[in-house]
Amino acid sequence: MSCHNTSHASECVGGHNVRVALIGSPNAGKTTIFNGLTGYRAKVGNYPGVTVVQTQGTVDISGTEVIIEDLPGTYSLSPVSPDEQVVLDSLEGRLDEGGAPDALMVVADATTIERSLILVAQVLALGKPSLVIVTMLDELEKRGGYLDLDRLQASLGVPVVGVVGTKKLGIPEVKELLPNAENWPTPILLPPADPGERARWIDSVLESVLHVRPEGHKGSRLVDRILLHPVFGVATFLVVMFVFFQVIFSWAVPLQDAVTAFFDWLGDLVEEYVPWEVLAALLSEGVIAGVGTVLQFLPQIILLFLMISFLENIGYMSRAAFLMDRVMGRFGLEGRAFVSLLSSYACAVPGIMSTRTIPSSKDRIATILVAPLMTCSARLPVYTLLIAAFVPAVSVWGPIGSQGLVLFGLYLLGTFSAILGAAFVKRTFLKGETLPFYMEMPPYRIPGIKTIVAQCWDSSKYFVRKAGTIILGTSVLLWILLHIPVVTPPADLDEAGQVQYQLENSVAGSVGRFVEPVFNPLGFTWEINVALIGSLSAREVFVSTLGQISAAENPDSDTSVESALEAQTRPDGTPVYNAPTVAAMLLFFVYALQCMSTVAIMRRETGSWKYPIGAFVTYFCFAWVAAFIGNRVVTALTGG
Amino acid sequence: MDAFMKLDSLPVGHIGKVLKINGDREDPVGRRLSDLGFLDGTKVAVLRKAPLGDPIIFELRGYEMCLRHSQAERIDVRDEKG
Repeated sequence: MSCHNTSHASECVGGHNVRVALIGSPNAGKTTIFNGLTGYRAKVGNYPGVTVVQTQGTVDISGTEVIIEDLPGTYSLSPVSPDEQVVLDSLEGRLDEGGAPDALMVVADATTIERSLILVAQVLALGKPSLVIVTMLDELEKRGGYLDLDRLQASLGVPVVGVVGTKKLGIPEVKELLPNAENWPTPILLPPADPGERARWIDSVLESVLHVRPEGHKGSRLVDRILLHPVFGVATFLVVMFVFFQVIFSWAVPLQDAVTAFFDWLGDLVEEYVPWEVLAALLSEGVIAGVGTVLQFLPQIILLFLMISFLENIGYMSRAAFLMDRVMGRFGLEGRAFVSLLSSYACAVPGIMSTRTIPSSKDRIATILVAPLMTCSARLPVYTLLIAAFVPAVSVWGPIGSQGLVLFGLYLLGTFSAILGAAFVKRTFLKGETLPFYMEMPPYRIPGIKTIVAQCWDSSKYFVRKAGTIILGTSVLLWILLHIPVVTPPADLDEAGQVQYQLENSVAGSVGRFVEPVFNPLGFTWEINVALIGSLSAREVFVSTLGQISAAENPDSDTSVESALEAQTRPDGTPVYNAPTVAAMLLFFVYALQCMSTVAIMRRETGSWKYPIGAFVTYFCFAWVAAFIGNRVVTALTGG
Repeated sequence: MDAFMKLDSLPVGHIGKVLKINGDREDPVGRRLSDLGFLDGTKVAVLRKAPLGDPIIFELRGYEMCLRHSQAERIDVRDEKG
């Protein structure tokens, strides 16, 4: 199509491509449009040097390769931070890669057109071929508002397309226009840059499009009167938080048990029917136990992500951020960081990804750095195993038991450490930057089931992928390393002693014993060290590795990992898992960053190795010190 | 009689008309406030304050925006009551 223009004729020889930037404010429906145009085939990267994520999608439309660059949602093109500067730089072609886009698409929400026109004015003022996409027209009509698209096109001087994202209306029109993007008109009269003149320009545009402001969201106002009320609002917030944790702690348990039972059954099946003993052991102990350990948390993860996605889409997360802003402000963060940290209770990976909504780069990095301290669900198997096996179940006060209290204490410790950590980094190396705080309160919307399920699946996918790759790999590798080289144990040992000898002299056993000087002060044995090293890839590996080792060493005990651990003794005959050691292990897991997925996502979201490596080393040291102190304190308390 | 005041001290339920943004208009906060729609002559309604008094939700130009006191005090308004 665009080949008709002679000035671009040379580009038409041997394929033709157009780069179009997509600009819009948050909540304007930009993502829906991007997905509608590119069919969810997005490539995510970082702009050089800052934490702003760069998303690109490529579509082939009638022989023309159209590259759509999805810029981060913004209310303005006049940058107030390095992050926003880099976006403007990319629009103006000051970044090396690919040069400036050939054309611009700006998304404007029809229901808030009075504000959206400010961004439209700034985009048009760049003087590039432009297209305006107007969204939420159905909602505008429903709320009794009006705006004439033809008149808008006439008064702006660039093409205007109305899009209703949920009904896919307008997307085909945009697609038809895209290959010819370089030849979209530029406005003859650029909108004014001065804020005062711009206000008058907006007024005149609004008048010419016969704009009728839609009625306020009466329903939202009414709901907010309760949900943001000083008493009822805070009470609702606490109830929401309670339900949130109730799901983690108890509602998911039956589902979890079902998954565990399934994998146990599968393991037994393999041991029974796979003829070759070594292969059967590798499959049941390495593959099935390893993957099963992770997948048993899938029901819980899915439920959590469903809740987060629901709260987000219905509009409650902004309200939670509003209620918590003052509290978070105390620690140098803002309300939206609360939402990210809350998600990190499920998993730090989506928690860290959700920091993209935080405008300030320093707030974002501070939140990313402390998110791994929030007690994610991967710590749960470790905590529940150790607590169930070694914390005596006594009633402390009515229905409140000692085991629950210890678990709650670990959650609190992680949370407080995260918040204090954020306050610390914000007062030290992330100091400065006076970015204004602002946050839009979107009207409550009944979210589409499809959106929620899609988002939930997107996040859960990480978990499944982790189970299939990192954890499966580590688990199998550890199993092999525990069994090679095959050694001949001294003949005078009994059967259990022979297994023990084999494990101790395996590659993994040697490594575990090699690092003993580091972990001895914490009361850890080489078996724990092996599991700990394995768990650096993913925390859940700890449980399956300990299970593997102790089951092999104590073939007589029944199949549960707990009883196998309880049976473990040190060379002097005392139990391995005494109170000081268990306390040290729990504290180690509160702080250590044992998750390669988190390290990888930190690298992706900050665009640098500096933060993940720094966090890994710092948290390892923290973990060691906390475990050491825990060991000594408990030793003193128990009179050891 | 018209009452001039800073936006953060405008009582809940009142509507103010933006007179000007104080201080350097070209500094980041001032620039961002005007880009968010706090332009001269814009009517801003104070919807509610958070339980601890900060931040505050405003309605302007057909949408709801929440600001902290420290930003809202930059904006001079004329109180036009409810």
